[in-house]
Amino acid sequence: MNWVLVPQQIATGILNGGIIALISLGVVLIFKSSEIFNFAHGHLLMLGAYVTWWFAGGNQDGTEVFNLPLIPAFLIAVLVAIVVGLLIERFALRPMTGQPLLSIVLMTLGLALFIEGVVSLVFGVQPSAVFPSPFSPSAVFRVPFPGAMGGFIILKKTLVLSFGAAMLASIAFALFFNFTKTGLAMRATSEDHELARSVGLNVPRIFGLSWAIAGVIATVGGILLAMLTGASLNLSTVVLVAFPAILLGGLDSFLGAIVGGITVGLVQALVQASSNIEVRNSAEIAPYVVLLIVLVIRPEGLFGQKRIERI
Amino acid sequence: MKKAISMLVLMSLLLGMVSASFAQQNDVTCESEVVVQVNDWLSKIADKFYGDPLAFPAIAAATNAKAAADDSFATIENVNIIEPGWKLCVPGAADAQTLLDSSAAGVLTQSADISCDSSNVGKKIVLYQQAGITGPLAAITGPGLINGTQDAIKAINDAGGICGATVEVVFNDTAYVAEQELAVYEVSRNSDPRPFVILTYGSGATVVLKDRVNEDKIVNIASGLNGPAVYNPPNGYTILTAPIYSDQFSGFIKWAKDNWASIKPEGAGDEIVVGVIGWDNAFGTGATTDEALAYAESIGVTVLPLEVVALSPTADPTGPIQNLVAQGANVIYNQSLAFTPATVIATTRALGLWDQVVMGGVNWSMDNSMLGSLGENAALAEGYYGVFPYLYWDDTDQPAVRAAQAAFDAGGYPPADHGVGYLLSYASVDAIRQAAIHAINRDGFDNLSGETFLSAMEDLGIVSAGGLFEFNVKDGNRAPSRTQIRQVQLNDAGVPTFVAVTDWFDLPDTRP
Amino acid sequence: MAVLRPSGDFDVSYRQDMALIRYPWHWVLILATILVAATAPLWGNAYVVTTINQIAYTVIAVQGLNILTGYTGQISLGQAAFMLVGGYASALLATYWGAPIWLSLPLAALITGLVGLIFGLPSLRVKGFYLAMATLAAQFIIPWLTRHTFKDYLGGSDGQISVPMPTLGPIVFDSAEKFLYLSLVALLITTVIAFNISRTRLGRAFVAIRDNDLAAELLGVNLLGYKLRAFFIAALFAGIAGALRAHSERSIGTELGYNLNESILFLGMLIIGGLGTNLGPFLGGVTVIILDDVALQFGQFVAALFPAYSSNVLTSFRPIFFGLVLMLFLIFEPRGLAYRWTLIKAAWRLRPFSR
Repeated sequence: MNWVLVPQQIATGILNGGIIALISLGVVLIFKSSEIFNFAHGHLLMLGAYVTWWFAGGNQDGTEVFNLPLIPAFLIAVLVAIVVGLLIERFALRPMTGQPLLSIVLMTLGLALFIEGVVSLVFGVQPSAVFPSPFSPSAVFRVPFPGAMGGFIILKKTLVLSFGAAMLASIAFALFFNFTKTGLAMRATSEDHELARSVGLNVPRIFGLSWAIAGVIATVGGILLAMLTGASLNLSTVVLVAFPAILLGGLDSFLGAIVGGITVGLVQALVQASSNIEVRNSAEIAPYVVLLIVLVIRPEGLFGQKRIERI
Repeated sequence: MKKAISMLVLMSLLLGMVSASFAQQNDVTCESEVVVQVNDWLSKIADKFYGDPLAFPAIAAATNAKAAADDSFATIENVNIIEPGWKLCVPGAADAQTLLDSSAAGVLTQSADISCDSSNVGKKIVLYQQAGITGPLAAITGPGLINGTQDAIKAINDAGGICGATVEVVFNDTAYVAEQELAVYEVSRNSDPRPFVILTYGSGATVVLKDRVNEDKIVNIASGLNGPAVYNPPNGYTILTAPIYSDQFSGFIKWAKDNWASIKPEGAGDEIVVGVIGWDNAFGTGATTDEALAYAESIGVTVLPLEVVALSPTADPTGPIQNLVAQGANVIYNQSLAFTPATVIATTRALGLWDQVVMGGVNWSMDNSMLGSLGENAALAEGYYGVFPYLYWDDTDQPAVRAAQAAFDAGGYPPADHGVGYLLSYASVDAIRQAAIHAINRDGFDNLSGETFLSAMEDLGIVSAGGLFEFNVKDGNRAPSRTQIRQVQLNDAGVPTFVAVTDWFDLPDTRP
Repeated sequence: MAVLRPSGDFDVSYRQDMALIRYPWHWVLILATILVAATAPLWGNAYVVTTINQIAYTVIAVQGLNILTGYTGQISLGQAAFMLVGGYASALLATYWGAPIWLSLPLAALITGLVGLIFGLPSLRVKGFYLAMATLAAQFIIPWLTRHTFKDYLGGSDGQISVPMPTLGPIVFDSAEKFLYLSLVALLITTVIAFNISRTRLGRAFVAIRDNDLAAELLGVNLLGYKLRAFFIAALFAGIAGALRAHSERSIGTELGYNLNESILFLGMLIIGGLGTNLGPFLGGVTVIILDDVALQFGQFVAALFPAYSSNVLTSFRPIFFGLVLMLFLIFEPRGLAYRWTLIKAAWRLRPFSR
């Protein structure tokens, strides 16, 4: 361990973990309400980033149709995400009702490809870095911290913003699922579709709603990421980091998604503080190694429900 | 190896003689003579006399030319270093312009206007181009390389084609997946007639195709500058558009070593410690080959083990940067492109380490795509150095650049494509034209094949690519071996431009 | 399937009940397929030969996945990583020991099988998505290990080493035409194995685990033992496929793919072909590979129609086309092509009374 780097890496790790947590939330949401593991979440995220970028004036090269400030562009992107979520549920997933799990998973993969294709057709493949961000990528808070390198740690303002947004969103969802009628209905549906139907819940509507919400979460995540890196097709790959986070926390737990996200962020950051070069270079797989260990010790994840099986 | 070195020495000697004789022939008249004062630098003087700081090479060239005949004039070996008391020759504005043109043009071979011995109207020449316009590296090449190739071909066809034959290009997307590169190559090589040249753009493609193109005798004009793949075995069919990565890296540290006094960060010691941040793939590890590391050791520069950054715009380089600085790095070399150098630059600035290191990188890292990744904050890149073995859009005084710019404007492409991808593709086609004409003149149109094409290129030795860069196929070379170092500087409007801080110089030979 | 057999067609002996090839036309079909594939160098150009080659080793990998996912019900997202292991194993055996292909291929398969066992171990404790993630971990960890360990042998971050052309006695497989026969023979062997697994005790235990693992355990099926066997066989097949691919591409390593996308693609082929059927891997592999090529060619055609947007169309056509086909397929043909095939057979038999 290179201790002088540890404070900074912990700070970076937690902040990065916030975004991972937010992405994980979207996947968990879909899983909780419809038992579908959504591989297309990363692509929804990318779509959200591009839509916002487009409404915010695109590359600012004179070809823009809209040139809105960030917040209105974001709101429109949220509307688009809701529509996209509803469309996906109606036309891609509802026909799959009753199909085996694997087919549905593959459906989301097909969806992912399709979204990628549409985005590159409409927006082109070039990354679009001119993204309206409130902060420059080098704008930071300097927090004095004895023992850290240079005597302070830096918090990138964009990261702090996205961490805050992720936490706010998580709290909002926790409240939504525990205290609102719709939220409770969604939870009930995830327990048992038929039972939910028999007590008068409109199950297709609830599925649609959860896809719409997932679309919104994805858009928020996409914008936060795009503020850091600009909109690009590669944004969708970030979901690969979220997978271990989701499983770490337990597929069906919101709290788990957040804890898992931050854990993954921390693990990735902390291996980089190692003094061994090979350990440092393992940041990419470290979350998966941790995942394997957790799976062997606690197969249902840290916060997942342990299901009792009966024949 | 030894042989290669002595060959190089011989070559540089010859080159030196040529340039010396060239200088003596030039009869320069000095409008005024300037003695260097403390706090003078060349571009400052150029600004004073011509109102253009970029005109400094004229003064350097004139002074050196004078120095050959008159000892009282200083000899400027490095335009970054002038000493107080030196006498400089400042030519008149008109002379300066001629000197500027010739000094800039003189280093790059100009595209030759070879005439054809035969007319082949109605026949076709097909080029095959494969690259990823999807996939991670699309950030740098993107549609630019297709558009560049097509525009260059259109220009050639409008001017009557290659010896009357119409040129066509077939493009295939490979997403930079090596397996796809192979699959696409299989399709191309089985076309009828068999292609004589293909254009590829990734290290993966260079590596997996190297044996195939040698067996099939198809010339691969490659932009994946992986040295081991090109020179193993030597005299293969892969020809590179820019110096191999290990040469570039060695050249960069050689330049840093030679100019350490003027570029070193405040407070840095005399010892140069280089940290490399690269991707975890053939490209990312291409710079720090055994030969390059041995070279670094031989000139007394420490190179730290490669720090890996994931090939993703969301990868956070905080850890690698801090690790390097913690190990004492005062030079950081980026062996990556587009978003990764951009995030390294932004993060280094955020960490407050920017003034503690000299930041630079491989040629692809210093491109429009890197500035584009920084978006509105492109000015953050100010001060970044890059190995720069070709001309760039900023060199509007060069006719070759103006021609490319006109084609680009005519195409109406988005500014994001205004990068090196378009420029290199546009230029490469011109080199193909010259070599193809030479091959056709020598062996006849029907014998135009990879074999005759390669030997035509070898015949020509140095083949200019539209005056924008030059292929070097001389004496077993497969890649250019000269470069400039450029720096990101803000122009008066605050727009980052790539300004040459060195003349063209020969790179160290680190061929495997 | 048995439901769809014509009336009056009974098996009268155990031997007949177990027969793989039941009717003369089965023979005709099999021989015709082999003949068409084997004579490809005569009637097709090199591109066709390469494609058939590619289909052959892909089908082998999908067959392995079919045993694990189709029969045993364990989702695997790591098949491509196991191919990587097989490719490296065979390449290293051939490079450093000069092992001929008849030795290096089975050895590579065996080594891959053992690696597969290691990553099958979590299947004792986790299932469903959690297991899928354990195999996903394999898909990330194995390629990472090839880049960061034994750099001198595995190529390090270069991500590839070159692979010698396979030899068999005096024959050197130095062209796609020759290599085709190697792939086809391997495919023939794996097909026979796959068919036999599905009808023996092993296959029945796999299916029991898939349908209800607790019930299977009650019936005396050793869950861990059989799951591990399934993982072993799946990796074994992947090893063969990987070795074949490495030798035919003449290089092996992470630069050549073997990534998550490929693992997912294998699952896609399996679903399109028909999960848990012996015909599935063939139909799925052939369909997807041909579709992919069609998408590539057709994309260029479409791009030529819209020259102003050609680069956007070129890049986007393939994912759109492929994603759309996959989605439509899942909606309209969720049980796979193999099921459609049985329906066609039934319709042919019942003609003119079929719907």
